[in-house]
Amino acid sequence: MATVFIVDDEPMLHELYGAILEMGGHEIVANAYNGDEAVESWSRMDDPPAIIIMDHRMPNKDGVETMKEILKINPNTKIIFASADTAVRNDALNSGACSFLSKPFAVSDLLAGIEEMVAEC
Amino acid sequence: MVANVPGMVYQFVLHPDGSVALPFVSESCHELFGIDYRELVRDVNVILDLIHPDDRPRFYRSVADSAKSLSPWEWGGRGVISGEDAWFRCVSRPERQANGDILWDGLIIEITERKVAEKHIEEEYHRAEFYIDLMSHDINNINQVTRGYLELLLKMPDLPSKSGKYAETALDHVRKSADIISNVKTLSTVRSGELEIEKIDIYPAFASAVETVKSQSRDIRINSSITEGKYFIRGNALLFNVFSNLLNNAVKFDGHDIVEINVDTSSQDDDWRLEFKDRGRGIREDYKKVIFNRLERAGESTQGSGLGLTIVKHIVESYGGKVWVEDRFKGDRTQGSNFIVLLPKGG
Repeated sequence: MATVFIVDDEPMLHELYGAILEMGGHEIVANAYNGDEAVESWSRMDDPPAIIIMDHRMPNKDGVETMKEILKINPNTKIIFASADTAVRNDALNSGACSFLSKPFAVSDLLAGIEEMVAEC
Repeated sequence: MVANVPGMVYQFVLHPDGSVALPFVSESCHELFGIDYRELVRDVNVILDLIHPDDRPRFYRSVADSAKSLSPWEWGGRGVISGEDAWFRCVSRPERQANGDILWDGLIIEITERKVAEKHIEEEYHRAEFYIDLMSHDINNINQVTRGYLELLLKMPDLPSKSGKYAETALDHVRKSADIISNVKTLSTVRSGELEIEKIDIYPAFASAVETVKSQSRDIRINSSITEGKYFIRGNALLFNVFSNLLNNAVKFDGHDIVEINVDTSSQDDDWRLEFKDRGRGIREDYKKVIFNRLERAGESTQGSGLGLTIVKHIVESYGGKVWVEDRFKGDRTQGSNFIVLLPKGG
């Protein structure tokens, strides 16, 4: 069972990921709706979640910048980049994302990605 | 005759001491600048002062270059006429005179309308790019929600079979919607030229495309001699789209239980020649060129968005290559098609 932090500006996606992760036996322990909020939340967490699902296009700070700041705080953070913006794929992977899912991805792809990361821990 | 020419006919002289003058100006200068021609002949600075300050350095540089090399002078830039910017195009030919003067005979025409139209086109292009970007991002987020919940629904135990069928159909259309968005975005990327073209190995793109195509729930066999480090071309990341569209096309129209595609590679002068041979239903002669242009489809029914082969053509041509289709067996289209791609070698 993995603990997950969702970072996405779309509330409807937070709800969807919640349903998917519940089915997969995982738990969402934190939500952020923009980059600054994500970094702020992450820096205050005593027991950070195992995995972050990160969107790219968000207000005030995009996903790649947010990811870089989080990785500065904890370089071992496992991040699944999930974006409708396929042009950012290489940048995301080169900046430290463990994997990239192009929206709209299959439920099974997200769960498989999480299982893979849990197995690596 | 000169008075009848649309534009200002003139002579411009550069003296050996560096001073300049306009020995001749046609009367139509009044139409262009609102100045009597005699005023310009009297004092050349009357017209030189009209040149937009930002464009002056380029103007004087171009005159100096033309004077030095005695090459024809061409200049396009702005003048400020009655407080408003106007665009002009100037052409002239220099000739050195016996006394050391350089004399240009030339013509000035106003092109403001054309420039305004060009600016409008550029603005509309950027607006279209913005809408494509917005559409692809926002609609794909909605597609994600739709796809996610439909897949969760299909995983529910005891789902009535009719409900399952309806959900599957809806899911299929969400995927098609995502494909259309992806294709439009790809076409936009190709046209914008934002991805640089460089020397690349075709193997990674081909292998990814094969893996993607084979993930479909059909028995698909792809026979090819493409291996890593063997075939280099001048291309970019969009090469994946070329291969996946050609392979998906071959699968789509093959009605056999086992789909079999042969991809043959050979050298043809400065190009690598790739032949994608399928066992589909074939393509009519009158349709062979049209299938590469989404806007000119012939009457035959099509599956999918129809943009796939248009995208292949645009990408291949952006590399300096070529793509076309022939019958797999000449004269008998019922045995399948052969999509031939020429890709310039990467050296």
